[in-house]
Amino acid sequence: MNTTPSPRLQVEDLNVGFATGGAIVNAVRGVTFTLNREKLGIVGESGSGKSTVGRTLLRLHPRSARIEARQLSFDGIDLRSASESTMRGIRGRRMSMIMQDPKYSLNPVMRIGEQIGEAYKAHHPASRAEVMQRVLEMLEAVRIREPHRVYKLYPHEVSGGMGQRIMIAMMLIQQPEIVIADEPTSALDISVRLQVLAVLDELVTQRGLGLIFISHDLNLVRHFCDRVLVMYAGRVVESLAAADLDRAEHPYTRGLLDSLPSIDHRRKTLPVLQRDPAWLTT
Amino acid sequence: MAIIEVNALNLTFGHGAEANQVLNDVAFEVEKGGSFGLVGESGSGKTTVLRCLAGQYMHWQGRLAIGGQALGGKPDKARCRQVQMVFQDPYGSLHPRHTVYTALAEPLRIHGIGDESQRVDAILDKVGLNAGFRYRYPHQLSGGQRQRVAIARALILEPSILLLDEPTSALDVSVQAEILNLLTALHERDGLTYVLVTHDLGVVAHLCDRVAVMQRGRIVETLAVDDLCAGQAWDPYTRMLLDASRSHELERVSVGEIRTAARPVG
Repeated sequence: MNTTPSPRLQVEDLNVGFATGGAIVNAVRGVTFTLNREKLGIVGESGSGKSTVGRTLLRLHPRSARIEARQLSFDGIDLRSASESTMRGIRGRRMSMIMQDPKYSLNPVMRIGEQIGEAYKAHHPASRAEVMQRVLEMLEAVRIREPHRVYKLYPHEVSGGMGQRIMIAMMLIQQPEIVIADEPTSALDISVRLQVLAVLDELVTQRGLGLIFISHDLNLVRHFCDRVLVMYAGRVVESLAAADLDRAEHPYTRGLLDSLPSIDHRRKTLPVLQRDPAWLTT
Repeated sequence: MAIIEVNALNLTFGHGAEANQVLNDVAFEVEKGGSFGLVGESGSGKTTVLRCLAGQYMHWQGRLAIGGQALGGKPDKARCRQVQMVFQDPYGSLHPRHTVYTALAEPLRIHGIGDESQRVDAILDKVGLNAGFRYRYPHQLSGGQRQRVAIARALILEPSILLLDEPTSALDVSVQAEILNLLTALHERDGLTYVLVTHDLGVVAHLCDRVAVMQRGRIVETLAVDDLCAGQAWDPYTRMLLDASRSHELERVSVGEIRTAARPVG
């Protein structure tokens, strides 16, 4: 394992706005957090700015985005002012992102093994045989049983769960220090979801990665992550240890938890979230 | 009396060596006014059963009966009026260039029912929207509002059976609660019969009284939801689903167990 000091991400007072028409829409407002070797969950409804935070870290936004922060640094590198070439060295190599839907994120006309190999070659000069060896090892690491067979398949020939594990393999073959997983299991069945989570968990623990896990599934985050940020309308309304989620105090977090139908606690009517305009400012 | 009877339902796609049997001796009954859940992983055939009931597939074998009348051949208008379906994705199931009014009035025109305007207003009111939504396009609605319109479209023909294909899985949890409450209210008020497909046992516990668990085109277990919640399921796959929706505890449900319980292909 590497012996470098733990990778550390520092975000302080992050604001992201998009110019649409003449007006500026503030998608993220005053978000502050740090990340070490841990699993950090970001939860919230659609449109709350969770994915925008993830994309900001990799600078994947269009030029029209206005990103302001008091601090935005990764391992001492200031991400606000880093040049494009520095970013290319970070993106994929040291910090990578797993997208939501393998169907749209894999190249449909390229064999799976070649796609993963391409990701590796982008940062590591190696011979064809070496690359292939690395890819097969990686496929095995994400628990694909017949790596040689899967290597030669095209994306449409694999199931959703396998596709998602292939995405994970592609991201982890670079051995990044931080992985941002944007709803990596939302498109999957419960049984497959647990397999993918177990794979992620094992790799995070073994390799000492920092993981940012973006999800709208509170139950899942509660059991999978170490720490949780709850976002509402671009702001972090609550930040707490995942185990303490039951004791969440913010009415929004409470409302989200309450509105889940449960097999152990059956109710005639589910409480519906009552939104308070004050949440936007306080 | 059972309003829906499904007996020895078999369905195969493809021919000869390519043949793929997707439903295998599926059998269940739903009482009038009951609410029946179908759960299982993707590809287990849950939605296919709904499509057979809705008349979207016609080459099945076995016996399907609705209200004591055996189904077969082309679905007629009377059956379409009696059985309506709500789809998973409210973003895909509404025509992007039709207003809410056009979408809701179309089934009325097909079935030659008058009083379009009043009926549209009444049904919008029933699903918690108002007449102000009549001339909106789908892109001007939120996800929850779209699913309400899709439910209104199914209800406007006053069906007795509603087939629900994952009606809330594309929605946020906060919106899911609203739609589930609406479905509960409609169920109680109008005595509708539901067949609900989902992979979320929490939704089943909230809305259904009986549930069948499907795996690879077969029903592996049928039981009352009360028994399910009391932990009386015996099939390993059902137990795995139960554990998974209770806790997501990775340590307890080890991957090896999932493998054997889920028996994935490939």
